[in-house]
Amino acid sequence: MEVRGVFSGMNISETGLRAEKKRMEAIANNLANVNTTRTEEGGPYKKQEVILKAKEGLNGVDVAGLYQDDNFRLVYDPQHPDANKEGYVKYPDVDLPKEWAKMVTASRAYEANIAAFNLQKQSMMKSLDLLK
Amino acid sequence: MGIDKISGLNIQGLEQGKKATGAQAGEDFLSLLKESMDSVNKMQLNAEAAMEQLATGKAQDIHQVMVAVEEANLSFMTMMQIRNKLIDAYNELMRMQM
Repeated sequence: MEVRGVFSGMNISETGLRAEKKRMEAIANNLANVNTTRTEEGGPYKKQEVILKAKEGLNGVDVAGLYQDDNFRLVYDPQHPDANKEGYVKYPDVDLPKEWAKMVTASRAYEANIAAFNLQKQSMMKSLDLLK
Repeated sequence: MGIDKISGLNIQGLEQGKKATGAQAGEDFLSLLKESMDSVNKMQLNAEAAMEQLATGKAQDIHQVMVAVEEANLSFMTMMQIRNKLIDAYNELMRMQM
């Protein structure tokens, strides 16, 4: 007897939790690197975004990968060691209000998945009352 | 008005059914019970491992631990309900007037 099949709905909510957590991580990374001008591969930090992919059938969502935004914003600062010949410094194209709004939606989506999980749990507990 | 005899009752089928419910059926039920108990136990162990990983800081994400614990809790509750039901049935049988 496979007990796990009973929890398939909860597993869907779990994939949602994982996906939203990943999104929050990416946004936190963007916020942390809002003024980063240097990276391992050279150049300024590139804004990251999580790509989500639906799983086949009723199996929830999967994190497909990360998307990098190649846009930069130029700030005139000739004193900066990373400034180019014209005196401009390349900063990542991270828009704080936008990132913040995305953070809020991600955290709300996370909560929604928790609520869905709890409701499924409650229905399971209620179905145990059938035996009483 | 005469009394109709009971029709549509397949006595032969009942007899066959009686033969089938022998030692074999008993074993089937026992193995089913054992299997589900093993399954519940496995989930308990899963939850324990997940909690240990959380406590030692090895857990990747906290919700995985919570889900494992909740699944173990629910399967255990289900098992307890079935056990209660079985014990009720046993008690009912013991109280039967012979």
